[in-house]
Amino acid sequence: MDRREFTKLLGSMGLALVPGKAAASHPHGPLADGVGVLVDTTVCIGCRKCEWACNRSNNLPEEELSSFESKAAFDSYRRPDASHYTVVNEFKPNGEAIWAKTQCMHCEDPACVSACIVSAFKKRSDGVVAYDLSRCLGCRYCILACPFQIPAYEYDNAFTPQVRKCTFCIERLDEGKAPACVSICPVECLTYGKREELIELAHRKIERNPDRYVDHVYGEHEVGGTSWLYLSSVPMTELGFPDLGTDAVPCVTETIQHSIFKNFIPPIALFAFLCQIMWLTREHGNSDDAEKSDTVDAYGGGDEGGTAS
Amino acid sequence: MRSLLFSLVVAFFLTAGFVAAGDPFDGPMPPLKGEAVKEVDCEHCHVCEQPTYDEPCLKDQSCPRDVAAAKLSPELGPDVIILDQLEDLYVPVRFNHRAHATMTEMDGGCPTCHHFTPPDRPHPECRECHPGSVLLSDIAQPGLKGAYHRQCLGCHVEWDSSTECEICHAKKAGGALHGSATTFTTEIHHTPIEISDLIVMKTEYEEGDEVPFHHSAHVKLYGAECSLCHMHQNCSSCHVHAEASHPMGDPDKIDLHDTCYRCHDDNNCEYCHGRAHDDRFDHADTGWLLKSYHASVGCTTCHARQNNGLTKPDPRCAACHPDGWAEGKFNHSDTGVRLDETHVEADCVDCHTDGFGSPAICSDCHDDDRVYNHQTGFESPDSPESAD
Repeated sequence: MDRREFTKLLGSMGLALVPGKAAASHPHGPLADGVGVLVDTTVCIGCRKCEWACNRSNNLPEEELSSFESKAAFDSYRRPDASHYTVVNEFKPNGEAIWAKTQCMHCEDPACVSACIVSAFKKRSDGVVAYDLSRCLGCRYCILACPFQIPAYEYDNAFTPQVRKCTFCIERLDEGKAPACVSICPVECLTYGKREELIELAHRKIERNPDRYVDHVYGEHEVGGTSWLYLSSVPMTELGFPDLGTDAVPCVTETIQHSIFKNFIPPIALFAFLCQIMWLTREHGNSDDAEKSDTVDAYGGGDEGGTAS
Repeated sequence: MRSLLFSLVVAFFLTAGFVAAGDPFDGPMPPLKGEAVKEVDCEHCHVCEQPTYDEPCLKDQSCPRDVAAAKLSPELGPDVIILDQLEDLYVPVRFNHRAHATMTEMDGGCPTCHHFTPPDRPHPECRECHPGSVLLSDIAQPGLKGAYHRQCLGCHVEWDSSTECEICHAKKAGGALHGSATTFTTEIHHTPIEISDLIVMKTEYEEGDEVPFHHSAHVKLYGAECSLCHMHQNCSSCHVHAEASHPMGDPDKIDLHDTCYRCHDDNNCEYCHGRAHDDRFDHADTGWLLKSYHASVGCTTCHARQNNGLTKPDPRCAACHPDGWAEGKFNHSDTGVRLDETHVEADCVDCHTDGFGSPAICSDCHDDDRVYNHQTGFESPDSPESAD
């Protein structure tokens, strides 16, 4: 076996470790009782009341309501950060302004939960991706893992830094209320409800107004589904949202990692493979040695020959 | 036995048929929770299975929208509505329903906002269908807050280019509310709409480049509704983009020929182009000089509209005045001659000696040549100051 053959064999073995359609077999996925929010960007008027309500509800650094009425915020593209769990951005893909709210999407199969080595992030049974400060190490793997780049870190807090992101207003949900942003939205472009019903509603809206919406519910299948869903008149990629495909991020990472150690078969197989190579090589080497030793024996210097090989 | 077997087979196939028909993936979508509470079937108005906002595929004359639009005039609706069901961060909104209803006449009428009206009922209030609570039991339709705001902001965002709540609301002072509280806007009046007497339009027509348009005569005398010409206009036609706006809409898209042809489709170019500015319709040309009361009423008081023209009325007095001139049925001031205390006691024939159609002759009773002046009453031609 030469080097090329060996590489081929190793490559095919590595591929065999990753199942072809990982997403289908992944145990996670949409929750039966999960809640969500449907954002109809064609209704949003860009008033930024949701930002204000979010800051107030989550005890974030509060600015006056009047400061949210300023349109100057739309001059630049903003991202959620440690003191703003949600931001509204203005886009003009076809000349007319479209506003889109950004926040944690509360994925059905969250990358942050998968990446967190201490389970500081958890997917609750109601669909909320919740953060537990008491467990957090501050490794920030979640920040790297998130496909939407949502979690933010309090870099300016030297002693008790936290990872910050939309909490889905857990306290309000537990009291039977809607999230603060949903409650305040004057035009009710945010609809809070069961995720399954929201998807049905979204498709019904598209069906009724085919000219108003693109035929796609963003978040229904993206990265395995998200609790926050979007309807829009233009593709969401034109509103600053990434095109991520339908496989959940953990499907890839977890499948690779778990497959490597699944029932300890792959390590054993790899070990056995290496053993076989060694054994094959050794046998080949022995025959060489035998030939050499025969030759050397004629001259009576077996030790020197062994050193040379 | 055979018939029993037959009926069993038939029952089996029927059941199978029903099961197949009940498949949710086959046929129209099942209604969402709470959506089927509407009081009319879709087929009552729509002919297609999936009506959309732009393509509603409505049946003629049977839709509640059309019925409602034909049935109700702005005057029948409330004047001012206080919207206080959701009072929380802001004080109640004082909504001038009358003004909005009147302006909407030009563009869609009542159904612009009252998008659902069951048959045989006046328009329901928004809150009858849209619940007030934020946590909706029925997610398929907006709550009351969303319904209000979507209706209002649909126009006002376009008009005001602003989402500041103080367009309609005033913030409540104090409390948990941040930001400065403003005083409650009690009344927002529309500026009186001015109708000019004569508009002279410049055109590039060689035979006569000026087209005089007697605007107030069309409205007041000929009885043209504003919406006859100002179709599909709304607040933003006048209020958006200040200097570029025009009461007829986008100036680049206006074709006044279309507008004028709605009535003047039989007239040739010179009827308008190059016409003398003071060349207005004179009723005397028809052989009937209008005097006093008849000169001040609109055409349709006597003439009925027929297609784009007017009918010829019955020239006899009694045709319009069937009650005659008996006491209590007739106000003599309508003729332009106000009777003073002395004359009101007199019998009709005392003055109108030759019958009602004939003018009264003052000199039959008075020998001082007095004449009647519409402003000051009876007066002597020689000394108006000492008029009686």
